[in-house]
Amino acid sequence: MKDQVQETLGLSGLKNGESAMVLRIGVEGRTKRRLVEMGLTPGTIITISKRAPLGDPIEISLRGYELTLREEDARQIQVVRSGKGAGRS
Amino acid sequence: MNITIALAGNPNSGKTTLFNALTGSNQYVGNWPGVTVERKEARFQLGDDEALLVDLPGVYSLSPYTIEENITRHFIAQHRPDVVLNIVDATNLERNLYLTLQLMELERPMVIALNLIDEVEKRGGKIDCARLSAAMGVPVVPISAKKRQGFDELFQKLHGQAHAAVVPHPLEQYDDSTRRAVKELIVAMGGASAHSVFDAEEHYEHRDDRHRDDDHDSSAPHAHIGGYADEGDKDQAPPTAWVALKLLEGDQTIAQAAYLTPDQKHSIERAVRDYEARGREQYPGIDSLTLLADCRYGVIERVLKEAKVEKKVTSQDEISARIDKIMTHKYLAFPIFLVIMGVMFFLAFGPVGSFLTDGMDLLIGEYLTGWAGAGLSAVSAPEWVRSLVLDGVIAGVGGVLTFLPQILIIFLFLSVLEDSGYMSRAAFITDRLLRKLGLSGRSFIPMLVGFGCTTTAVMSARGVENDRDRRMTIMLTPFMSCGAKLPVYGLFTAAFFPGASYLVVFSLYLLGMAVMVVCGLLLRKVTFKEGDTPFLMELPPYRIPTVKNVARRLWDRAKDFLTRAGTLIFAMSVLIWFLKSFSFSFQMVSDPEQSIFGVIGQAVAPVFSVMGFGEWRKIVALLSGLVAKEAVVSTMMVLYSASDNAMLASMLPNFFTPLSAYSFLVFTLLYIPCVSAVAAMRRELGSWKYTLQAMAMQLITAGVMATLVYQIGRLFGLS
Repeated sequence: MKDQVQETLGLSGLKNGESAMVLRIGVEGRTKRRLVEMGLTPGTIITISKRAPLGDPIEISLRGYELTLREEDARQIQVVRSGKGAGRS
Repeated sequence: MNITIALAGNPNSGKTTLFNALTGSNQYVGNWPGVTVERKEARFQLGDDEALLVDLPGVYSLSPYTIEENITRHFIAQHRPDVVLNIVDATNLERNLYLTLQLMELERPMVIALNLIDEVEKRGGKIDCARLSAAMGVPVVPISAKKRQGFDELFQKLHGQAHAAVVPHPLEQYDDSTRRAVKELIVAMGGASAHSVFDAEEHYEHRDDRHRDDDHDSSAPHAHIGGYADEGDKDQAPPTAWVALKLLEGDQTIAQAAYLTPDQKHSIERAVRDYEARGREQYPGIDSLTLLADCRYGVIERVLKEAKVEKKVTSQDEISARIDKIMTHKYLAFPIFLVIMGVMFFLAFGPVGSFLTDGMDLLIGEYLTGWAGAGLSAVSAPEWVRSLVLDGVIAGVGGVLTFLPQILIIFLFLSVLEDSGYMSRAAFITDRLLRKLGLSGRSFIPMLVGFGCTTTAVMSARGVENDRDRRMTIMLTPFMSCGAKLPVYGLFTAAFFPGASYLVVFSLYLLGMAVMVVCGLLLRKVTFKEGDTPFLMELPPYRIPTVKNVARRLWDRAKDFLTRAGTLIFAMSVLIWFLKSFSFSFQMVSDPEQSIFGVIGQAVAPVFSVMGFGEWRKIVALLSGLVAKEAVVSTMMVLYSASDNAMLASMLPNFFTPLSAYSFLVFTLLYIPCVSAVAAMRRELGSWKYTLQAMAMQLITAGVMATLVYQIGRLFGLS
């Protein structure tokens, strides 16, 4: 991570094409389990690929594959914007 | 020796292609006991062994939330197959290996089939299989399921592993903190060899003295960890280290299935808390579940480095991205979707489909009926045999068979869409529209197909991955007004609403959709209220569908449909014929009024008078509509002695008012679908219980809506 103070935001707050590092998942239970199992663990770098025509769901790229998730779940994933190369990929 | 091979892997990893390629045509397809998930098995010769290959549902992990995952883990943990064949998508190695590690935790000998390796190489990527194999501790065989390459080595490795004595545990690669926690949990449960936390008899013998002895008998009955219902075969104890890992993850299903004393529970909680405390030094606020997932992905990252996996973002990904730019474009996505669906409907229900359907109709209705009739006359068969064969079997089963061309055209289309990767995109763009119902975009296409043919729609719901969503989709699609109801609408609008026929028909379609939404919300509140699994869907890269796979699926569907036509649909057609042609004293009657249907119609007529059509002939027409919806019209023709459609239309105003006619149409729209759709529902829901529930829901909804229409209409002075 870089020295400057970086803002924490929900994954759904990122724009298309932006990359970020996952900090934590803010929900409990099965939603959280599903998200971490699909590879959204702390330190993972994700990139927003695109949004569906109606704005939701969101497609993200992580760990070499494309995953779509709904805005309501994406909002619970706290991330920090990253340039390329920060954190693990 | 007989060996059992369990085939496990992620969805979209080529599992079905591999299963078909390995087993050819001698598959046994059924359901897992007690659940509606399809179970496929096949036997083949593996060296000197007789092998049984069991296809497990495609899953991403082994958590306890979906039926598919429960089946997979239950089968491997408690039925202990001799070897697990894990198919892994080489183009998506990192995420796929997460399941691999979880499968390894179940301590069965394994072989990894690395599928699509040719695609990785074509993209300029590289995977060193020998190093990957060494890093994972499991034989890795590069294969192409599509091109049937690498199978010899795969069989050889499967045979070797089935007789392997040593199974490496992935735990050896997990971080210190996780290993320490697992060790503590095993101690808390009474040691590594103490399978007894799942031993039901041990539990009852010693539940008072809090101590277990070590006379554990591995053939003793064991607690069941969920999944599917057992068929009397004994559950074995799941591996202790795996149980420890599951308890560490906070797996409530396992925690409840295990027989744990309060002391043990206490020690377990403490070990989990300590694990979290150690993890929080690095990640504040993290929990054991995330820590363990992080630990597994950490191992995977290291393995990938050791195996010198080079993944390149290349032309193939770019092509997919470029196609997606158009297919999921903000303004183009829906027009493209509608065009694709439009072409499918045009081909299935337009000139091409009609031509084929008419051909089938001619073949069955004219020639077959003619030959059968002549043949029966030649042997001077009694009248009831003649009626059974011609009016019962040929009219019933034959009528259903005329759907076959349309069904095949639609499935040809859907198979191509599925294999090309477009189906996931369709779900992606339509997801928003079905969310309020608690359904996902996956259900959209089956519902759309419902406007053509309910049978086909119910069959296509198999593409809905989540079991709960699939059942709901199957129960709701019959409300989408199917094509066979159009002749009924046509007849009545011509007779009663000549100027506004389009509006009336359109209103019925809208009403069907509205009822679907309301019933969907109710089902969610009452029947399917279990918690949500979040909608997480993979978007696989676009691929060119193979003729073999598409043909295979078409053949499976056709076989499925024909089997049903020969069994369940046959039986139901004969039953309806019997009720229509015989009286309660089992005499064949020529006057429909005296038939069982006629008598029932007269008996229930008062109930239907609140809907405005409490007359036995109308009810008998509806009952005949259970064979096929068009039969409502033909039965009315017989009952009202009309010679053709136009004559019937001119007579109907003597028997209906515009209001009761509309109410009748509403009932026709919503009530129980035809025998072939019911048979498909029975097949796809996997149980009569759900099928009967769905039929009851449809019948009640139809009655309530028709009553509302008629009574509210009357309040407003309509007649």
